[in-house]
Amino acid sequence: MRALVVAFTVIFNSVTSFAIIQTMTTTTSYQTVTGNLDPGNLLGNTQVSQYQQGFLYKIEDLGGNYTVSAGVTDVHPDYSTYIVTDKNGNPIPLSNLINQGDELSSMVNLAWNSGSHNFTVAYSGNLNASPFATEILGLDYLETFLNKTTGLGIKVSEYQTNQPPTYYNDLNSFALTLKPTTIHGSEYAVYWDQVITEKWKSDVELSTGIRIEDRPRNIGGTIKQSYALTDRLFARLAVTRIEELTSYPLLDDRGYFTLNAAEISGSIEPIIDFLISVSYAYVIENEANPVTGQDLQVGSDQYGLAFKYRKGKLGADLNGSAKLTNTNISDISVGGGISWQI
Amino acid sequence: MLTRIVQVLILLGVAATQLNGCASLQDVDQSEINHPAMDLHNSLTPGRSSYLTNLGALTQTNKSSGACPSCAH
Repeated sequence: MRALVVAFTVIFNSVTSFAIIQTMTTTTSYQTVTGNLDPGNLLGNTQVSQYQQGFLYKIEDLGGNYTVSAGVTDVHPDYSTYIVTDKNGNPIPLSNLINQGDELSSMVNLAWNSGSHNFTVAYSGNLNASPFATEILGLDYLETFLNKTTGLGIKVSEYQTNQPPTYYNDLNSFALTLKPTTIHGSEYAVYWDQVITEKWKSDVELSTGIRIEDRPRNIGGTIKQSYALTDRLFARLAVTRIEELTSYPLLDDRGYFTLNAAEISGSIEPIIDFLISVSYAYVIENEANPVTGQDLQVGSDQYGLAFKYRKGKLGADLNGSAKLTNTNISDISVGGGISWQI
Repeated sequence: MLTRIVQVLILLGVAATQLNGCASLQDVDQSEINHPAMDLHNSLTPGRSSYLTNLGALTQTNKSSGACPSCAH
């Protein structure tokens, strides 16, 4: 009997060990932003480009319940049009202050799924110097009920991010004051996924976040709906509102922020495993400053297009977006990737 | 005898509950609801951007919360 148990254990472990799925993915993207990038300088008209490459390795079904993924991203940034203010009040390009080079960042993700319990922990951070070096630790727990037709989840993100030294004119002290160069922040969210019918599912998310050193606490809500019009045609809708609480004091020269956004998208699968998606989002951002009485508003039309194809162990995707604001910013990006299972 | 009847009734109750669960699962055809195009937590097209406030940047891109060249923080 003991031999039988040992044999069963060895076979079970061997099967689960070799039943893993390994996937490697490479991605690349290019983004160029043209226009009036600094809301404080409405006459500015500049262009900035960024090129990015990534590599991701993922192991699924590890031990039956675990998925592990790790990746590296190499970014070629352009800070020549990122303007900072020096201690004399003069605007200077950030590229004058730093030795601009490639920026490497990494991410590690561990997911555990067992029946109705789903837990994910993710970490990402810079591997070399960057004026915006950031570390993010994220946790996500989802519990599903009623044959996975209902899900309740909670997300927690803690992060630390650097920003280059820049000064602002403090209207209380009438002195040039240095903005914080290290920001600690957190974001918490609860969400409810619900399958409503065989063709309709919904997600409601409530969130709150804060950047301790420079921004008031914000609260937000997002409602998403997806609907299968046919077995090859799908539609989605998402509506978001995030606003900063005026009960928290302003910590620098910026006002209180508000964001409203609506996005519709559609996907069609003309042949099996080939998906074409289009999307349109309308985003309105406001900044109301009670000290100066200034009220800024930036609205943007954001268009997206994506192709996704999978055949056997190979997958490929191609995507692009065009985003235009009422302040004449145009933001064009293209990207794509290839993945293959080993 | 009474104990045996109670045991049988409990087993029948458990079986009925399981069968009801299976029936519910069969009632819902999940082929469309589980299609990648229906996944509300992963966007198929590039994520949304903000140009004034940077609000929502962390959840939209899961990347840097500070490197927004146009946000002038």
